[in-house]
Amino acid sequence: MQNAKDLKEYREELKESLDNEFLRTTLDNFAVAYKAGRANAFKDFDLPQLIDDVACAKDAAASRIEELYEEFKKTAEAAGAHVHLAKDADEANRIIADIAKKSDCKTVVKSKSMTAEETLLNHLLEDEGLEVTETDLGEWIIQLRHEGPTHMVMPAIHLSRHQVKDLFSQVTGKEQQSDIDKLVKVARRELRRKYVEADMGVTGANFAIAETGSIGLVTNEGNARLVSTLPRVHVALMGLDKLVPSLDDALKILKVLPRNATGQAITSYVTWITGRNECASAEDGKKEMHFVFLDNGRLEMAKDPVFGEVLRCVRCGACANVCPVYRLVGGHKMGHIYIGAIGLILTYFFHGKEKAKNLVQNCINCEACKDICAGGIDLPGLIKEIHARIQDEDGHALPSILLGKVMKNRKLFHGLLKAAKFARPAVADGEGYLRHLPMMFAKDQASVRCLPWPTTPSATVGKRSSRA
Amino acid sequence: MTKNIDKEMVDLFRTKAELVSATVAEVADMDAALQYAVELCDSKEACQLLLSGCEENLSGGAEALCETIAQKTICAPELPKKQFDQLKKLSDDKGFNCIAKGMRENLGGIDIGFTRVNLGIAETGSLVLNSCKEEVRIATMLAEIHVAVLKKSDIMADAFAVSDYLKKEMGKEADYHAFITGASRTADIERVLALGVHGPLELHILLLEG
Ligand code: SF4
Repeated sequence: MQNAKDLKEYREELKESLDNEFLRTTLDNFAVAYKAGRANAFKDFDLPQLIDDVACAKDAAASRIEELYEEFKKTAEAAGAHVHLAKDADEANRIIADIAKKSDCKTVVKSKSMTAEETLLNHLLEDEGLEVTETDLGEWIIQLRHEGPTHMVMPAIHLSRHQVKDLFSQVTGKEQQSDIDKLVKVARRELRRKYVEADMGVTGANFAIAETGSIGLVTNEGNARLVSTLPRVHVALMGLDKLVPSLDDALKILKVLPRNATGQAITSYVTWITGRNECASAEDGKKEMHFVFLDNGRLEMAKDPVFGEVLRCVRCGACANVCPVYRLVGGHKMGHIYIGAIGLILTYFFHGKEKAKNLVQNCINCEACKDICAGGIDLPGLIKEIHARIQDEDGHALPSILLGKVMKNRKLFHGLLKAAKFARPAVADGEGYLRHLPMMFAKDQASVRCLPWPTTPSATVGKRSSRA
Repeated sequence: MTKNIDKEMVDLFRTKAELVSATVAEVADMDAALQYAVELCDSKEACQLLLSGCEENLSGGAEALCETIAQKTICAPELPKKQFDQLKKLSDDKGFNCIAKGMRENLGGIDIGFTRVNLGIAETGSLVLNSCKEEVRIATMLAEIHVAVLKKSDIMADAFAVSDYLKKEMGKEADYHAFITGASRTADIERVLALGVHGPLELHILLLEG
């Protein structure tokens, strides 16, 4: 989360990250493993075609997003579910708090939802006196630590097993061991009780299918199945961008999402829910079902000729995985709530210029995210555009804090360049210079215009094949 | 009404399911499947979590939930009566508790959840399970081992091939379907894979002839 109040604080935070060896080693290892895993997952497929399918399906949905919402509402309401539309984060939280009040809910279990992170739902629910428990292991860990996620798919990637052990020892009041398998079992048992006690379950949704008024949930842990089964009330909170016309569109996205996110062909659980399902703890034996859609600027974005394609994002997290700057500083410094390249963009739209300002100048414009994006979004182009907008509004160039820090440390600097090359080999041309001038090296930084490339024979790579 | 069995598809399904650490076995008929489940229950530790969960230091409330587990339990919701009776008989012989419903009284967890699944997806080694009945959802999530019986002729090529079936089901007033692929997993701590974070620690798929 981006909480620095001013440049000075942001500078402090950056320094902390740059000094964090564990974080960097973890992210470095991850970047390498991710690349191999993804390549393997897609080896039997025509990847550009798959990405194109996602882009087309999402674009088509965005072009009639309001119509799809109406269709979803009609179908879902006919099945006895409640459908709500919130214009902003506060309204979404308010709606959910009101549902809790009206249905006399005291305890809430949640499965992971980036949309709920976007609205900071837990804060409001807790202020209203509700007990909220995250059940996704990573989310639970960061909830207990009172911090935001550092990755959209692996929220606690910045923490070591020893940190988790200390945390769990504190929570259970008993000494735990640093064995990951055992820590996972402790979470299993501790969280089981929470499901049993909960009145309300809150999930996100990866798909909202207009045709049948259904949602689709993609998870590995299976916690969304329990969250949507045991409590008597189920609230699914999702951005309007999750709407698709039919199941077939969802299946197209499902083909790419897990492969691009973690290199898995599919996650352990994909759950499709329509209407009010059987629920023994509900008064009439049927679940009280609410779908809450969040606008928060999405409707306007859908009409924007430049930024419309942002709505193609399926939140796979890949644009962070390959980002050399993310590898260097981690999620808390490379996004406010949404992390990675898409995080820089969404922070500007959802959380405002002030939160985005410190972030966008971190982009070195290496274009690795553009190559990897599940929706084929021109992420670097859009970041540049936002950069320009903020400069226009502020009337001066944004200072390059990260550059200053990194340039002072030879090891870090070369690490960054190597990471950029690894992420996207063709960033260097045959002569060993960066072809694109990273944004943070631009403008006032004329003296560093030509950056010496760490020389290895493989630096002379051919032109990359780009997707049309 | 004999459907064709595409051997290649069955092999692909098996390979993909095993890749995500599911155990795949062939059974000649339902009797053999029921036998498999009871034998598996017999050979497993009383509570696998005793080794790795209950024995861990838990807070008071979580420990109390563990204590509700008295006897080995198999839950088989939605089985035809004849098959359930047979399973019950086999279980009784071993001294296991065999139930078709009442999962809400067993939220501490059970040993085996036994289901027949509707379809299989070869491309990803996934099972398609109609989970409209709450008992099915809870049994397949809170069991330490999920044993699923899949007819070979119900294996489809990919998710698009099950879309007609699924659309019809999702078009009903209420519906809850799941694609299940391997056991419940997480990599949230240091990206190390751990199975059984909330749901089953093991998934056994029994491929039924026909
Ligand atoms: S912008 Fe693209 S790569 Fe990044 S999370 Fe969204 S879909 Fe994935």
